[in-house]
Amino acid sequence: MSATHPAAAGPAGPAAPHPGGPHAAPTAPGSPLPVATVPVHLTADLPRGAIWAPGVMGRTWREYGYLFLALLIAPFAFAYAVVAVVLPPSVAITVVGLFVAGWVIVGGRMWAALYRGMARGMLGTSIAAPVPRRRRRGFWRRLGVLLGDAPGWRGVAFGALSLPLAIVGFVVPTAFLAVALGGVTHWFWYRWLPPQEASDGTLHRGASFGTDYFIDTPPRQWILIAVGLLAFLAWHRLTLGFAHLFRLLSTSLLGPTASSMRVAHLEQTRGTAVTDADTRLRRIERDLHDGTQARLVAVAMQIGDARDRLAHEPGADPATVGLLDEAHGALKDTLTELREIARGIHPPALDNGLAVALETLAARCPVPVTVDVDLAAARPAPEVETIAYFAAAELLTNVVRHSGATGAYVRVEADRGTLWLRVRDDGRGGAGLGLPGASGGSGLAGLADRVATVDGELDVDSPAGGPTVVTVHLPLSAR
Amino acid sequence: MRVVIAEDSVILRDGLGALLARRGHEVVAAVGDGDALVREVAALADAGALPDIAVVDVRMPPGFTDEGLRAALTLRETYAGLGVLLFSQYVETRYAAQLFGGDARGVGYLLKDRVADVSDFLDALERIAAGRTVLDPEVVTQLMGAARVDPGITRLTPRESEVLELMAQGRSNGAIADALVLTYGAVEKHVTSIFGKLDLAPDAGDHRRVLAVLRYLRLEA
Repeated sequence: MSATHPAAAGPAGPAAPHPGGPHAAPTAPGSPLPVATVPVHLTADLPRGAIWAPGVMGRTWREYGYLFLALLIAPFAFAYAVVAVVLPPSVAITVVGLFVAGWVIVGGRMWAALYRGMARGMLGTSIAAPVPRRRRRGFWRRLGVLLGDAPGWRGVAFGALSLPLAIVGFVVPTAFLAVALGGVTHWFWYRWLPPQEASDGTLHRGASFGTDYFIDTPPRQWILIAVGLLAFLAWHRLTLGFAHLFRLLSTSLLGPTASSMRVAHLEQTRGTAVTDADTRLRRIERDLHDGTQARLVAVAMQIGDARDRLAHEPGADPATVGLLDEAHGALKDTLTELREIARGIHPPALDNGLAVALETLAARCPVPVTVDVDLAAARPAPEVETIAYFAAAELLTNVVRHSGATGAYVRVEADRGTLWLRVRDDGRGGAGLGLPGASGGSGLAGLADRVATVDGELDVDSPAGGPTVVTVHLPLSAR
Repeated sequence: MRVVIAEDSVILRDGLGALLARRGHEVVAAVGDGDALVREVAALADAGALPDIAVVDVRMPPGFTDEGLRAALTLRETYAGLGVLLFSQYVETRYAAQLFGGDARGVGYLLKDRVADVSDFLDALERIAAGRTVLDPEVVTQLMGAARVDPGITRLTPRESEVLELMAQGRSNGAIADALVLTYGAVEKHVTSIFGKLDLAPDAGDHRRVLAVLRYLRLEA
């Protein structure tokens, strides 16, 4: 019976050691993030028990094969680890060389993947892949991500540790296996051994222990066979034992760390929260539009009609007409206010896309604004479009209120998974993130917070007197 | 006047219908989405009873983007004598550009809130049915604002700017005279001066006038 492989759900079988890792899932192929509630590693229900139990021999041979393979590649892994450790300090003087060192460290992930594959195929243990490398922009940040890649380092460490462990782990069981095979078959081939002289002058053939003890009598052959069988048992136990050591090492070094799983989980739930909030706001705006605003317009129509009819009646009391006039005016003001509130919650123009919404925004701006949107490459997620729209609205408000500019330019483009929004004006500059003011600040800090909820970034380039350029980077999706 | 209403909000649809009926117009059909509108008008046309005007909301099911606009454009292509008044929740210059792209006769674009001004709304209906053009003042304001830096516009006197705005809304000279409390002759003089300053060819037809102004204000489709 071969060990079956639960791919995901379900608790680990009784054979599985559980080093107390958090409950987070292996990465399903193709999905970028783990999902909660499934163990980080799973050991299949491996055959156990006596050596003659079904499947146990097969398992022993498989794990012995693992030890052999581990020994074969151990020198290379060790050499790689040495390079990974020695390279950064030695090329640090050429800063660009550090990138090479960084890639070598990230290459440790490849070793980890290889060992994970071996563990899955031969040790019967599925280990989840670590969280993917985070992308960062900027020279130093990118370098930091490469050099500090924890899964890469752990893969390298595994490779280094595997050398001594593989040597011992293969050599010792093999020695016992050799004794076992030799001892059990000695009775057959001992007659071809060259004769040796004992201390009393007699000639013997056979394995010898010391000068006088030869295994050439039937009782002694039987003893040797028994020893061989015991050695076989020892080989079996030792193989399983060393393989188990490798299993423990694999599960502790090759899977995702607890904190990275937590971070991934938090990112995913935050993305869900942002999307849900956006959907809810859109629904509120839709309800306002379809319900409240429609009703108000209908009422305004009726009051307007009543006022007109009354005004045209011959004996109409001007006071009544005046009252209806006021009521009508108040209703229209309410409608306008409601429309503004709805636009603040979710501008209806956004349903037609960011380009249309930004053009409408620009048209309403007292300062002339040129809008240039190029989203042919990719369509952002709705919640990202909302954030981009309100960012542009906030920035244009700042342009109008603080900059004294005569014109503004808004550019939007999508590139390599990022949405870029740039607002440039030719005003007096001097904008800062924490700028205090009589009106309570420029609002840029609040904008930076909002952008950060989706791991976006806000850059402000505003020298005093010079043009102001504010750039917002947003991922194309909140998840 | 025989009117077709296309509006997905039942409250508004009924309210509009009741208002029009009270003022002596006949609501021959009231539908809730763009396909139904085209179907109903086709059925009426086949029966030889093409309505005079269609009052259409831009944002309708199923997509709630511009279904009404597309239905209106389809109707304009098929039925030359049908006036179309398009309602929009907010100013969308692209819709206006598409609507006025070709022949602007008997076409109007208003904000939904404008319905609350009942006499203006009914007046707009009649102007469209008569083959003239109507454009919401708020749209005109936004377009004028955007064209502010144009030298031609800045050459206009304040009075001429007012006349230009009303012209862009599709008002006749008489209506402009009433609105600004001027004599008809004064309005004509202003109009000639405006066209001169903006280098536009003066023309008798109001709809061509509106088109010229809109093109000047860069309302290109």
